[in-house]
Amino acid sequence: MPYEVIDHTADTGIRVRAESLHDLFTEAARAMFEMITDTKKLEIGKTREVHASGADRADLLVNWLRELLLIWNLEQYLVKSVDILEMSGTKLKARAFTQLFDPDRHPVYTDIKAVTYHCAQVAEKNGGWEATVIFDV
Amino acid sequence: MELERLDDYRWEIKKTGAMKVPARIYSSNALIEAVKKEETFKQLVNVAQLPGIVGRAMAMPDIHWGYGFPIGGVAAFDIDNGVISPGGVGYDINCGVRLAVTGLEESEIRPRLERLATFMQHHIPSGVGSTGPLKLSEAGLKKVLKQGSPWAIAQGYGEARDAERTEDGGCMPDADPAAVSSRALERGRGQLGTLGSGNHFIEIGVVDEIYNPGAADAFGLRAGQVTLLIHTGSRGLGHQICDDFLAAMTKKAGQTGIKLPDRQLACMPVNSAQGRAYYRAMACAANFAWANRQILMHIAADAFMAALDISPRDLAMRLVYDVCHNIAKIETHTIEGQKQKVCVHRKGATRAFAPGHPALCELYRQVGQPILIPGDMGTASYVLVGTREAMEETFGSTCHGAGRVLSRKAAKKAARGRLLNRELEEKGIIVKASGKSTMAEEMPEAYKDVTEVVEVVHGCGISKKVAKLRPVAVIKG
Repeated sequence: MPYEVIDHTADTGIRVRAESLHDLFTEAARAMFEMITDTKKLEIGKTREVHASGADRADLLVNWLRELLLIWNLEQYLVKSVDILEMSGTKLKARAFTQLFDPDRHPVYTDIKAVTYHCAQVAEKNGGWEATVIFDV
Repeated sequence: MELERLDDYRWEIKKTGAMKVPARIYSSNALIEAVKKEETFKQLVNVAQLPGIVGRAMAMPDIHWGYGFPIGGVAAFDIDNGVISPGGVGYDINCGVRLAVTGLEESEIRPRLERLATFMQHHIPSGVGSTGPLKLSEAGLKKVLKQGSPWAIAQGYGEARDAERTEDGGCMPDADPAAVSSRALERGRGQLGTLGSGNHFIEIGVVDEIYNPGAADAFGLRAGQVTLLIHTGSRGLGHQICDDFLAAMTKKAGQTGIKLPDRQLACMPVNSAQGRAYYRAMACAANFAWANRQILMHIAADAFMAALDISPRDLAMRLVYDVCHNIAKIETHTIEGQKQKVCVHRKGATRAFAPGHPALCELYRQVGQPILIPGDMGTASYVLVGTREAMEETFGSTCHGAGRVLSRKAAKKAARGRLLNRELEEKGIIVKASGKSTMAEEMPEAYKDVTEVVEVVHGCGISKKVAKLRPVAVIKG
């Protein structure tokens, strides 16, 4: 499993590991939406472009996940997968494959309401990358 | 970091290192051990380091680990030299509680309790993606943000007297919708009059015990009476406002020279342009939350009347009070004998103003502010009253509830193989939850003992017990 779910008293989050930053950010997006729903049940309805920027890698990760979560919280679309097209340490551009939420077909396991900065981290570890993010649920 | 015990209910962390003030913890032998295991004290010490903090960084007995600031925390900042922090208020701005009493007795609802709970669940929009009874234009929503619960009352959701029985009259006058992003407006638009999910609930209860007959009489509480408790907040609107300002303040953090041990503590001087903009936007979310609880009370009254086939006169519902649990307020307090304007952050804490305070409506000015402390769904909720000790020690603040002790996953594990619904039914409590996991995550053992929490604030005098409410039916979002 490339990511694990963090379980604190009042919080839920993810710890993600990957070989490259590109994969780390892709995995983090997958982990967040797998916490929300069964992404295997999603089809691709609407493809959209997502942009994010940040002061550093951790800030960029939080802002990236914020942009994706907004698709859910604002428009009630669920993200099936993402394709990061371009990225640097402070900016990224991606495509997100999304489908409109259907309460009869899509279970909601955890309704994530916000991506927090609390303990947010992106660090090099054992030749690869590791990230930690806590969600407000 | 050394924890020094001062008396039965008070602990202190002396000012050391970068701390600008000491930290104070209100707790008990039973409660403090669980808190010691978490990083909560470290979080309190972080708050004590923020610019312009006045007096002490304080933790109420229901304290637990939060994002940046601990939940159950109180901190006041000088308005000229201090800061305001979205993380010190929390995501769910003006998450709060409203208590109403009815003219009904427990014996009148017992035989039809299942029907009442079912009607309540069907009437109250709750759960993921639910929308409220109002179709608001953006201009309409902005009116709600500006006017708060008086707007809802003017639309027919309640009575004129309800506003004065709400903290701040249900409206923070500094609200300015121009400070709210279009994303936040969009998230809030369909959600007015909805309960939400997670720990939000509607509880039908009974006044079980009266501790202070004088205050109970002033609040209109009598033993055996059926009550309604509503716990919800500003929904997606408040979350988005918090998120927007955290991001914006983090971006500017480098320019202020404020050292942040954690980005979630992002803050700005109270008097800076961004600090003032946050206060005005936060006030909008607070007003939205008050309007939300006002509308939900009206819908709940409809559910009572439909389920029991009774008239408004039979129901005789009357609002007791409505309080915030997550808020920052500019207030005047006496500090070392001097009156000072401060920005009081209460994150998972309740205002507890003493008798005679000018902010209280005439009805309660003699006796003090009603304080509403919801417990978990299987135990009890409490009504307390504000005191002079709270004004002197805690900037007129007290606890807000039970506080979690089990993580959501741990609660689910503890619930495995158990029929929680039946366990609660055996205690005389019907629970309607939209999801099975909500039921497990919110089980009584997941929370601290609310009675123990209340004993601490009563024992140390920062509020006094008035009455205990026993739940009979709970609707979870």
